[in-house]
Amino acid sequence: MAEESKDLRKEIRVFPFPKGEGKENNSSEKYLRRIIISGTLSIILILVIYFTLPLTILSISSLIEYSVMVALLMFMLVLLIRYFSLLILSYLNNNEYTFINPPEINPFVSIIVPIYNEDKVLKDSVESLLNLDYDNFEIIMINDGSTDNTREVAESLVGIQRGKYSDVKVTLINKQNAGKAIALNTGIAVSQADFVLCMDSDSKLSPNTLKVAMRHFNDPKVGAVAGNVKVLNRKKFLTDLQALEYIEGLNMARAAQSYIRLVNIIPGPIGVFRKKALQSAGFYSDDTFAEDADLTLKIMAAGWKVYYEPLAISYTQAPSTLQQLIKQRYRWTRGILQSIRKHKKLIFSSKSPSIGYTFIILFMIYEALIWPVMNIATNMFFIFAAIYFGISSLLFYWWAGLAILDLVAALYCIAVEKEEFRLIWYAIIYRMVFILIIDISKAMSTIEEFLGIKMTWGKLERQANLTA
Amino acid sequence: MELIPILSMIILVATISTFILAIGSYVLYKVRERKAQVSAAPRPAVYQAEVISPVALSGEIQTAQFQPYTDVRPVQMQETYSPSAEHQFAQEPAPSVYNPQPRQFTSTGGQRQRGKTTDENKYLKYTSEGYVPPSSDKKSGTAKWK
Repeated sequence: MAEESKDLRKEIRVFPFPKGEGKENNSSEKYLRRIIISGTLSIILILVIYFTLPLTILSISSLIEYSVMVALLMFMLVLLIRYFSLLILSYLNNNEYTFINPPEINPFVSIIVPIYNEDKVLKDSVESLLNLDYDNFEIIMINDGSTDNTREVAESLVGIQRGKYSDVKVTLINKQNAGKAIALNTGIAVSQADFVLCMDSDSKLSPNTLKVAMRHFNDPKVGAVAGNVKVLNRKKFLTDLQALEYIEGLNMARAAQSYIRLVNIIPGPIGVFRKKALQSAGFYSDDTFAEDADLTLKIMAAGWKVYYEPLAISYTQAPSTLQQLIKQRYRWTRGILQSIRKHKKLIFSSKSPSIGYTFIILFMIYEALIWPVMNIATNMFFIFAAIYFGISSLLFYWWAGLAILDLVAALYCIAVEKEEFRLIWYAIIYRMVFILIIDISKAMSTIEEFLGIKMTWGKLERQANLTA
Repeated sequence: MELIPILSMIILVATISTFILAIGSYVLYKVRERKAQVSAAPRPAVYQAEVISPVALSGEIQTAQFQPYTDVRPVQMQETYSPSAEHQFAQEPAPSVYNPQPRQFTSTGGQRQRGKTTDENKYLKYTSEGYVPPSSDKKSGTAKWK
């Protein structure tokens, strides 16, 4: 595959661009103090209710009954509003996408591939890039201090490679390990292009990715385009559930946000950026564990629009075991919370770029903090009620209602994305099993984040030779 | 027994199992994480990196102007290579059975005596009298069909 070419080896000095804004010191003490204060206030409130209740016409059992009813109704109402608003907005976006066809452009693009211990999948990933329907791009791989055979594999790929429409220059940067954010910044620094595509080294891009994504940069206000992430390693129970989650849970929300041009997370496996937007946002930061969410918020805060392109597809490997899945979601949750914390000052500030930006951060807070707690509390209530008051048929009707809602949403999303119809049946257990596991993991991660417990970047095991 | 209470029971068991599974997996993850945790090395202010890049492309991709390598030490190049006499002799092998002396080449002036290369009977023609050489076929060229 590699053609004969002479290597130029150059020593460069890479500066970790942005300095971290997070104040790690004393944060755990601060949040512990907050938890103690809020806990004490809650106990005082419970005691006040307990002692003043006999003075009213309510009994304790009727109070619990009424409060639970109100809580369940609120849960259902919020759930329905969330679902239908996302469905309607994503429908409007798909409608607009179908009828508005911006002209194609082909400026020079640098594809940045950060690598850390990916010797099994790197070659396949680069081959998918050489198969792109685009004739004006280069590939820059950044080996972030891999400890396995990655360096040898990457060096064998360096050269002028035969692309689908043109020759493609493949460059490698070997550097000591410093994290994904700095690896990406290094690649962006070396790139001479006005547009960069950042991806993961375990992902494969669909051939028309660049062609369809670049069209949106006709609008000079568009700073970035988020791609569509799909699960590559399917045909397993857990990975099929994630495939459905990516289609129904993530892509539907992204399509809905795209209608207002404010996609809140440009996914790590595929994001195309205007270099100017990256510069105005201050590039990737390494002070959160979700550098993609952080960068997206910074780009939006700088006033750029962010679009979602459903045909720019990146096939990525999803965790195939429950342990790996929890590890991944733990990192995502804490990373998103760290990003929200960094940008919370802009929510109700006059410096906020738009009402849409404020709405998007509030939506992120709801998704990361409020929704998981509501879901867990509802499920716990049903367990409690079933054990203490006997199994009620209400349990079945509740589950059936949610399952029908998920089936409808899954049917719509799968039809829109022309996905596998067999995934629809996973919607039956999607909310009761899969989302509950994810939400418990999110809740635990949230507690740890507020307590300031140290965390490490999890590395997932990869499988070789997977085809999209 | 009715169907709905049975289904409700299944849902209840599934929900409780999911809770146990999720919390168990989380605890297990934390235990493993703690075991695998190593003390992080202090992060340097500047990272060293090495760029390995092919030479500039010829023709098609020139949009990105790749900066040529500037840190390469210049190599002194001679226009023609002339090895020293000592080196020259050392490189020539001694004549032996396996390495005979080259014989003088004598030119034949480009004239080669060519033998008969084609057999007359190579291309035969099939007639009503059987296979005959094309020269002996008297009816050659006359109309076969009337």
